[in-house]
Formats: sequence, structure tokens, C-alpha cells
Amino acid sequence: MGGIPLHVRRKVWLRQFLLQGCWNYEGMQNVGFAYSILPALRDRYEGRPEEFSRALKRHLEFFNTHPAMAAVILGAAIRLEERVAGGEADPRAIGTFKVGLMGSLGAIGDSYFWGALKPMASVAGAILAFVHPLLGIATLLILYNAVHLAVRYRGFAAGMGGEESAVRFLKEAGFARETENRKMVAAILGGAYAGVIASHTAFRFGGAWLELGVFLLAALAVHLITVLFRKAVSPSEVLLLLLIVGMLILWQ
Amino acid sequence: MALVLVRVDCRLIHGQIVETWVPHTGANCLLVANDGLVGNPVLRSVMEMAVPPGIHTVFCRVDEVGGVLSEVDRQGERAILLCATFGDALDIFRRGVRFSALNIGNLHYEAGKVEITPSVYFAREDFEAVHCLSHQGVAVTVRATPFEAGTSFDPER
Amino acid sequence: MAMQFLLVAAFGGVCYLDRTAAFQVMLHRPLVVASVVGAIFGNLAAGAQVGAVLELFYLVRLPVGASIPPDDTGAAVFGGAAAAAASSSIGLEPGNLAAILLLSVPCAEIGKVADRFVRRMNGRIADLAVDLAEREDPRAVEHGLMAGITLFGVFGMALALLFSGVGVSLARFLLPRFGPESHFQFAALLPALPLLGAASVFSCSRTERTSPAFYLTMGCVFASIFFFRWLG
Repeated sequence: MGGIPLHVRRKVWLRQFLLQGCWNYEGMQNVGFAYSILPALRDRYEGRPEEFSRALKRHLEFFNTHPAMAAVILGAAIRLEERVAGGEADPRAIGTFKVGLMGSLGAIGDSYFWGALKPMASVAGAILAFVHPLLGIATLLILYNAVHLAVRYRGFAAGMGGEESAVRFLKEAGFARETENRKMVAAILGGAYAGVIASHTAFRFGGAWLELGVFLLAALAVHLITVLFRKAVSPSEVLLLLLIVGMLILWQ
Repeated sequence: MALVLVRVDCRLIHGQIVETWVPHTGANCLLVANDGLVGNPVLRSVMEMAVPPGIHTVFCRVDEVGGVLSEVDRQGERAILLCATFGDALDIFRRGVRFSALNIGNLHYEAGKVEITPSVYFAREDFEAVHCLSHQGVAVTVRATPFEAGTSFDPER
Repeated sequence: MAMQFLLVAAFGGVCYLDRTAAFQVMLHRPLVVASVVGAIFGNLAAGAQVGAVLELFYLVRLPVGASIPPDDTGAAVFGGAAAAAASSSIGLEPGNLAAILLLSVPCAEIGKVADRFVRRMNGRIADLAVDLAEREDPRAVEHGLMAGITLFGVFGMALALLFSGVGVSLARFLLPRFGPESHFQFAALLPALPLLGAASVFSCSRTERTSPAFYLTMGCVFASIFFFRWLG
């Protein structure tokens, strides 16, 4: 029996974009994962309804990871199903592999995509939006998706090569180092953004000493808000406080 | 004291820990007490990839926690202790590792479990473990990230 | 007007889908959403001005695991609509801009509650789908997923309609009631808002190495802008 044909693999790859389509608190991405892998199961277990329904059942178990990193697990799960269908592997290995990897890949993806890449793309977009809104939008979308789509594509391919290949991909991609680098860029861009805002505000006051004072005030404000965020105060709470202050001033 | 957070979370190291609790507590060491992981180098290496550089990660068996913690204490590190189940947490406590607060992150749904919050489901033995810990003066709080207010348990319930 | 709201509902639905259910290609970011909604109501630049500030507000709240961040897509729909409507009547000066940005916060919180509700409803769909798929028909998985996506989409459209409606009426009826002196007072709050955004970026990119980099860049950019203004 040959491997999974290309058009089936392509279908699975496209379906992974709907992984969170039925996100729920009990099984999280379980329906999405089963939906994504379904074409491969249909192909492997054609004419073997009992095995097919057992296979489907294992992929309806709880599943949750970062949506972009799921491609790696999805690829590896297909490869494992291929071997299980051929009688070369124990079906229980699939569950162990998925459960073992989803937490760690979730952590890697959360730090890298949500904690580093998205802020970097966002702040780059926000700065360039001063120049022209469309330039800002294009920058944001391109910076994020160039990496996002590459991980979805290469991660899936690496997963298809088996467990070792999946782990090798993760090592070689060096997510921890990349996360650090992206955070560095995000911090520098964030500093530039804050500097522009501070100078824009200071400009209205005029006079070198006053401007310096405004700058120091701005840096202090950023520092204070950062401390609040670390103390787990939500941005909404800070903003609502400002809104109330504004209302009180109006009331006077 | 070296322990800044003790947490029960069936996912062990994941995004909520690395991105919210580590900065919030200022921890520089993650101590993962799990018997299964010690014998599985592949999963361990993937889990280590999720930890930012500069944070020291230690994996140990549940019965080794005491010894490892005193080592961490000597190094002057601030540690977050993670275990996967209430059973492990209770075991660690009974082996003499004292903590005054226990944080509950995620305990996934399984048939027959009771919903506490959308991401925490308790089995019957979990309730028993909470009672047991509460009576010893441990404050048990369900709080996935520091941004949440948290739900606490009082022992009389 | 009806045509514009129809467009916003359709576009909002797509953005809300991108937020969680499908793709995650960042179409749902406030900069994109506010600009496009602003363009639909006749002023792309006004929308982008609001979007660029909103973009950074909630970055510090990561969507990790089951924790749901405030709905900045909804805030952007509101902000984009209000900014474009204000710019064509009373003008988008700093006071109005600050007011719109601050009033978008309740939208973000309402959107978060709605998101949680959709995910709970999805629980029932998933239950049904899993049950049916295991007992009878594997296609139940596909149907369940489509039902979930539809639910996300419909809620997104409804929220987009609601927030844009509130935004436009706010700019048309509430903001013009305030006189020029109150505008001036609200304008004083404006610089604090992008700074909060910068703090949000800084907080989620904060490590030992990046801390000095942030403040150093802030100082250098400020100094060089000051220097060039002094020259010319």
C-alpha cells in the first residue's frame, strides 16, 4: 500500500485553518482536529469501517495547542495513522504523542506568535500607519504571515516525516532564540513609538526644559503602566480609570 | 523561601506559565514534578524548548521534590513548582514540602467530572484532596492566569 | 446608510472568524479593522488613526489556553465607525479622538463576554457532533465544525452591526453636545493612550535584555526629533 496521496494531504493541510472552528471548553480543539485529519483517515481505512470509527474516536479526544503549531502535530499524527493502518505501530502511541506534544507546542507557539511576533508586527504596523495607513496594514499582515504560513507549511511537512523529523524541525527552527530576537525588535520599535508620541506631546509645550520634563513624565508613565500590567492589572481597568478621570474633569 | 508559586496544571509547562506567571512572580526556575516525564526524554526536550533562556528548568520525580527544592533554595533561585494532578500535589505536601497556597490552572474535562470553571473540572478524589489540603491551612485557588480574579475554596464547602 | 451597515456586518463577520475560528491571518487586528470600517463610512485615514492606537492596547493580554482577552476587534469596529462619522461632521480633533478611544473599552469587554458565550454554545454542538460521529455518521464532525463556524460568524456579524451602530450614533448625537472647552480637557488625556499601548508592547516583550533597549530607543528617538526640529 502506498502513502497518503497528495490531494488528500493538501486537503488536510487546508483544513487545519479551521482547527478552532468549533472551539469549546470541554474538548477545546477536538472537533477541529478530527475534522482536519478526517480525509486522511477516510483514505487509510477505506473499507474497514470498524477501524475507521476507532481511529476517528481517538482524534475526538481533548486537544488544544497553538493553532499555528498544530500543523506539526497534525502531520505527525497522519504519519502515525499511516503506520497504524499498516499494522506497524500501536494505536495508543498516537494519543501519547498528541497529548505529550500539545502542551509544549502550545507554550512555544504562545510565546513566539502571541508574545513576540504579533507585538512586533503590530507595533511596526502602527508606526508605519503614521506614514500611510495602507503601508501600516500591509507591513503588519506581511510581517506576521510570512512566518505564520511558513511554520504551518514546513511544520506540516516535517511532521509528515515522522516523530523524529518533527522534533528535529522544532530544534532547528530554534523558537526560543527567535522569540528572544523578535521580542528585542518589538521592544526597540515600541521604544521608538513611545519616543515619537512623547516628542509630539512635548512639541505643544515648547521650551527645552519643559520638553525634557514631558519626556521624563512619559517615560515614567510607561514604566508605571508596565508595573501595573505585571501586577496583573488589565489594560481595560487602566483605560476605564482614565475615562472616569475625564468624566470628572468634564463634570467640574 | 524559594517557592513563589505551586500549581496543579495537567499541561505542566505551557503558555500561561511562560508568558504570564513567570513575569508576574519574577521566577527564574521551573520545577516540574512528574514521574512520567522523567522517563521520556523526547517530550522533556520539547518541553524545554518552550522555556525562555535564562529560566532554569528542572524535571524530577514526585518523591524527589524536597531534595531538589533545598538545592534550588541554596542557589537562591525563585521557583515555580508544577505538578499534573492533585494526587501529586498532596503527595508532595505529605512528604514535607510546605506551601501555604496552591494554584489550580487547568484540569481537563473527562466524563464524570464536575465543572469548577470552564477550564477546570474536578473528579471526586480531587474534592477530597482539596479538603485535605484546606484543613492543613493551604489556600486553594483556581486561577488560570494572574489577570483573573480567581475562585477560592473554603474548607467548609 | 443601510448598505454601509450591511458591508460592515459582512466584513465584521469575516474578521471575527479570523480572530478565533479560522485562519488567524491577523485580519482581525484593530489597525486593519478600524481602517476598513472607517473606509466603509467614508474616511479610511480617520479609522486608521484610531486603529493604530487600539492596535497596541491589549497586546499584553495573550489568548493563552482558555483565557480570553478583551475583544479589540469589536473595539476597532466601534472606533473606526465613530471616527469616520465624527470626521465628516464635527471633525476628529484630539478631544473627540480621546473620547472615542476611551469609550471603545466597554465594547471590548462586551465582546469578550459574547465570545465566552459562543464558546459555551459550541460545547453543546461539540457534544452532539462527538456523540453522533462515534455512534452513526462520521460526517457529523464536518457538520459540527460548520455549525461552530456559523455560530462564530453570525455572532461576529451581530457584534459588528451593534458596535458600528453605537459608534456612528455616538459621533452623530453625543459628541457634538460637548463644547470646545470640554474637548480641550479630554484632549489632555490623549497622549496617555498611545503611551499605554507602548507599555503594553513593552510588557509582553520584556526581558532583561530588552528593558534597556526600550528606554534607550525612546530617548534616542525623542532626542533626534528634538535635534532636527532645533536645526530646521
